[in-house]
Amino acid sequence: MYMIVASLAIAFGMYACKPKSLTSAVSGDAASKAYVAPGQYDEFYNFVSGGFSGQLSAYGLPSGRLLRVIPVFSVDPEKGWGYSEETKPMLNTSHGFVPWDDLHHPEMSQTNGEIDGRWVFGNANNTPRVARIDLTTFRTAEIIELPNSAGNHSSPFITENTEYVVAGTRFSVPPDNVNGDVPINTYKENFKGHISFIAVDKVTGHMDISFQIECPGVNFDLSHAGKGPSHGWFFFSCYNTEQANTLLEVNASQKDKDFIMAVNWKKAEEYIKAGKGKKVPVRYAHNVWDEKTHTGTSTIKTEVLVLDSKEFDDLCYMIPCPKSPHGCDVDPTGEYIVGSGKLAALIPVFSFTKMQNAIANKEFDGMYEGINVIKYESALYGEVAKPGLGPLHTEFDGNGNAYTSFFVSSEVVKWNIKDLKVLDRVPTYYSVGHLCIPGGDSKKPFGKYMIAYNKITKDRYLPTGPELAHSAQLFDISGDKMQLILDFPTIGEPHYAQAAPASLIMPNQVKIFKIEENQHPYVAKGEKEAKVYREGNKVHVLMTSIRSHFAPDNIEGIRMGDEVYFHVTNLEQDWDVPHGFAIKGANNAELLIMPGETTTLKWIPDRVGIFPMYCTDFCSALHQEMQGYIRVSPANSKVPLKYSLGDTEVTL
Amino acid sequence: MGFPSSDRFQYFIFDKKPPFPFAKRRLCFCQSSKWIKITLKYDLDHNKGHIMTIILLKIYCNMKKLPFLFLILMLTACGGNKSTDSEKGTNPYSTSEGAGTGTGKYDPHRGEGKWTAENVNVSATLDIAMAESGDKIQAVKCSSCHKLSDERLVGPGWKGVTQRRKPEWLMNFITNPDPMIDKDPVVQAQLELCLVRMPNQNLSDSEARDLLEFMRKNDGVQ
Repeated sequence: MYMIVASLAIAFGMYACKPKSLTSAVSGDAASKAYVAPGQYDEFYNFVSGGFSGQLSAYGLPSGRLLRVIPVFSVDPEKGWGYSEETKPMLNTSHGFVPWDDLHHPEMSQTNGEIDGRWVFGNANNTPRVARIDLTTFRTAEIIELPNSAGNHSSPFITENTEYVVAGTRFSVPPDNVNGDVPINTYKENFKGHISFIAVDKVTGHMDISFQIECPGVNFDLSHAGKGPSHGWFFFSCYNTEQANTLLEVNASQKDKDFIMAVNWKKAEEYIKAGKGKKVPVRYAHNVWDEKTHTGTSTIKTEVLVLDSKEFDDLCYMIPCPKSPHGCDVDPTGEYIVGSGKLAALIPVFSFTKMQNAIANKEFDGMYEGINVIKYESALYGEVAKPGLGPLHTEFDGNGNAYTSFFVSSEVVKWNIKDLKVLDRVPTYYSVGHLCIPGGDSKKPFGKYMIAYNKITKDRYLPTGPELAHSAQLFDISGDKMQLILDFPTIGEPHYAQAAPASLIMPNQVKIFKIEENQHPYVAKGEKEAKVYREGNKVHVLMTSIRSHFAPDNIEGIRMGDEVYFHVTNLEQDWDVPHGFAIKGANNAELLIMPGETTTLKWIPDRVGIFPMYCTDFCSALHQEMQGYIRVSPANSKVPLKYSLGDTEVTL
Repeated sequence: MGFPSSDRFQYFIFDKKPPFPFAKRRLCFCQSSKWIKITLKYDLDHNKGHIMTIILLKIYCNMKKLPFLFLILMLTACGGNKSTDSEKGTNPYSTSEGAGTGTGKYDPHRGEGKWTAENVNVSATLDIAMAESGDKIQAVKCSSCHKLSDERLVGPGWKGVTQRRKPEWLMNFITNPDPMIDKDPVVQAQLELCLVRMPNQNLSDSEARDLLEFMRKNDGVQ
């Protein structure tokens, strides 16, 4: 009988039975739980950091389908990101054009502590920046650089109404406006840790550094905002309170406890309002994308307001936290702050109420670099005993449970926040870093799934040479026990991730850019406006594309020494009909132009001859006909500038 | 459909199609020369954001009557699909937003979309302002593929189109091209010549109407 049933089940595709040896951690109905039939939509969007790829990937859950890789901090020749003239300013910094970075943490915008589906923020860990990705276009809309910082790791976590995005420096460094030419071993006196509060405009999302707080030179690692009762506070984990500048592996692991720094940012706002902030000369880039001109602009700003943590005794407090804390996570009620000492064998849970009482009663244990240290026991709610080895990050399901990842013991442990009892544990494959539950760091987690992001996948997938894919593992957490239902490889290295119901994002999708609203300075609204003209050695080509031809598609009279700018306007007004543009020998990349958009490729011919150009994105049955030629003549040539399409020819 | 064979079950047959979607279907197994009859009954509920499938298996054997076996499988798959659109394969984000009154048989004189002889108001004389606006729109959105003469470029030339086609057909076609390209016999014949499906250029109602006025002007209406 069971054979009949099992056989039918196979026939219906409800089960995908793997060979026994692989199923030890996977029970029979796993495949059906992760199965999304062809043509059906996923229930959740999952935004996963690309780590050293510098990009952000969007997956569907529960299927694990990769929907899009959104270029953020690294160039992407496929989409022309960082190669087209319009996108180059987006990657500008005070160091000039930077083509790569390391994106660790996506954080979705919130309203009233709930995910609102408008934007995702991402941090650049190397050249410190914060990006805002617009979820109506799935494109990077803004990037702001952070002065006085290095290694922007405890970022871009947000307050419950997206009032602020924060950025805390992982590598303390001498501030930008002082002489940085100092011996490295003067860390203790010369190095500072700055924490930036970036204000976000409620309507446009535009970012602006409101103020920075200068803190002792330590490593700020991760952070999370208070919420509900603790709204107005921000919590940052810090390690290397030993202030070592070499062999941190040993020298920053000396003390039994480091700190979680609690920042009263409402108080900071008051001090700023009262004019207590110091204006400090700095240089940082602020890059904004304009959807009307389809162009990014980069502005270098030269001043930032700084509050010195030492000068205000009610701005920052240090809470001792065992063994180099990493994750710093606040539960949905806002009362409990979970610190994860990555070398500890317990998880301390702090109480916001107890912390407030301790401050009121001055239950301090001395000072650290001018900041009051709250007594450990006075802020501690309790400890989760023997949870596992190497706790890193904690997410919440909204039902009073916490889920903590353990890197060293490769497992996820579910525990109850109130009684601190361990409820369940599951292995991961292998060496898990971050976790993500949809809405799992907000006031209202959506629960249902948990994803574990793993660093090591040896023996999990077909091998691909020395480097193997990192992975995401999807667990069903709707029952008492966590159940592994799927794992899938990811791009780059996945660190933190966020997920939200598709219903928050799907209805807001931009399908086309209206051609009549296009304000690009070189737009050609229709073939009548297509033209070629010369300004000295610069040749501007205002070209249009539509299924399936360019206008113009023959250009002569280009000379060696010219700089040619192809401004290509896609005249299509239909969803999902981009046109591509590529030209032989171009030293940059292709263009991928969305309907109604204008994008520019700069091309400097390197030899005399005929150069074909073509559409790279299969657009219609006559896509292979969508091509043209450019004739390049010697520098002193008398060939007149001439362009044509079919019988229409213009000679200049 | 592949199926593991064994001594007991040599093969099995679904009657014609795999049983999704369905109301009632029948399965047969052949065991040596003896038949096991399996009746399947399903109940699909598409309107609760998930699909619930209930399968009742009723198994007989003419050697020995086996007890009824009731197997209930609940499948939760791809929640959020609240409409049956996705089941039919039509995308809820389809760009054919103009489609509204297209129920029943396709009318080759009217086309498919919101426009009818009643709601397209065409007067005997030309509205010059509308025609001028239509001229500007065609320069941006249409002229890449259509000439104003009767000569074909990518698509057919416009000369005479308002005499060949009723105003409501034109209005429907330019605002709702995709379903009409699929259904209209004349357009399908045209597609065999041109090979490029006319793009939906996202014309608003008033833009479409201005364009029609320009086409009339192009055909000599004064």
